[in-house]
Amino acid sequence: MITDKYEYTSTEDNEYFEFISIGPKGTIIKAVQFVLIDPENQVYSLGLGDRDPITNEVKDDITSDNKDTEKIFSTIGYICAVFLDNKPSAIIFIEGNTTSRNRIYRMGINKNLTLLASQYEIYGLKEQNHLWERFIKSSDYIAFTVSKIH
Amino acid sequence: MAYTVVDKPQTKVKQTLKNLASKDNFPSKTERAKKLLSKAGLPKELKAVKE
Repeated sequence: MITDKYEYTSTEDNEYFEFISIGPKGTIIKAVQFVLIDPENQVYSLGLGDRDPITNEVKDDITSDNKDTEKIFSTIGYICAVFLDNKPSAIIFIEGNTTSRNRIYRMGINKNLTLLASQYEIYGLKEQNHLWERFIKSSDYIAFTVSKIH
Repeated sequence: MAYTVVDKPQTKVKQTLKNLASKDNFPSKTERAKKLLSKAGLPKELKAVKE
């Protein structure tokens, strides 16, 4: 089941989104951006980071630890759905900076797999052989693709 | 009476988003993703749909 999520704002083209994470560390601006990396196949890389409200610099190597990981990833899931509704032939390429972030992405997909599987095709890239396979709950992956079922 | 035009916060927020969206805010990640994609390609099933 999709859990509680944050309200977000986005640009008109729905390629850049922001929302505010609220927790013990205070309020943190989260930035989500879809960057086109393969125009031919419409593949977009998903970026997630914290925006400094003073400098506007976005950093994706920070562990904010604001105790709201589940809500953040629910929000990202929702943002991905909005993005794919606007670009139905796009493929989202997700690659965490670290093993732990990839694990969090995997857990987020796991939690909502029943719902996601009815609307989206999800593949995971295995580290050992660099081969894609349909997402399996128990497997570890170094990257994921999410796209609409056509 | 003179009026001062005050920029509404919402306008500022939109402009900030627009400025941020006009560039890649995750250049290292984008590079890594491009390299990984060129190495692994797309899942065969997705490639078939695209073709």
